[in-house]
Amino acid sequence: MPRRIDHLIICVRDLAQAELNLRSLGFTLTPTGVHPFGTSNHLAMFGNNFLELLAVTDAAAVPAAAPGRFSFAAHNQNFLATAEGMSMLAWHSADAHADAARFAANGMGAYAPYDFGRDAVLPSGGTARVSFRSPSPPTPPCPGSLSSPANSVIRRNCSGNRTTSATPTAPWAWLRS
Amino acid sequence: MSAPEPVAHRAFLERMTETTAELAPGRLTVGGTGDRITVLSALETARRLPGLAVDGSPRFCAARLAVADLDAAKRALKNNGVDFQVTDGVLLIPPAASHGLALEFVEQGTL
Repeated sequence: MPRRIDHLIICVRDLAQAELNLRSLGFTLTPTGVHPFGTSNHLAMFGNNFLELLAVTDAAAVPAAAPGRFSFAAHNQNFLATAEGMSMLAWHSADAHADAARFAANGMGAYAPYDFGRDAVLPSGGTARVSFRSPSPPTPPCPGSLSSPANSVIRRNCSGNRTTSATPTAPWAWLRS
Repeated sequence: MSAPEPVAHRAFLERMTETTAELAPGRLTVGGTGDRITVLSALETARRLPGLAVDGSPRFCAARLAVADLDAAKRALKNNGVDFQVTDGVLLIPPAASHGLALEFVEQGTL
């Protein structure tokens, strides 16, 4: 079965201004989500995928990339050094770790998996713990990144399921399950 | 996406999407309906998205989204003072209005 697109990441310098601009285009956005690695976001959720507006909001918290270790925040920070725009594409993964192993076997990159979680504000006003596991990105011949799906993340977590995410070897390609 | 040589991305994208690429001069397409990725050469990108700056390196240029009512989308954008153009049923919002990524709205069912 063809792999689904999970979400697109639009990397911006001023998250508050970008939120206003996207709302003027007709998008309904989630409240601000804050990541523990220095980025924040708003999501425009659709049926099977979503757009993620992302900014670096705490540069001091951005972990540096290292050999074998993909840094989502550092990738987007570097992207912003030259322009705003779509910095990553996230594909869905039913089994992030299995995909990561397959990517490595196919020479598509081998990054260490990572996990993170945050408390997301629900439409009802309550909160739910949102967590990811991400085996890293594959290495394609292009820049940017493929990443994890946000709307499905929240939905799955609201329904009590844990989400997992894997990153293949393209700094612009990412997977999430 | 725009890339100097779309076909150079074939192997990676086929493995990633688990689909077979469709090739045409200056164009490579992978993925199914709703999950399609098209990689265009600089020349084809310029034809598809006139005025878009293409510097020669691979990059994401535009995203196409299905909307339930394209006329309602047009009205909402006009009311909000957003610049857009409509060509052959595709409503295009230039990248300057959407933080570097051009957005194309099409009527649901025409993706």
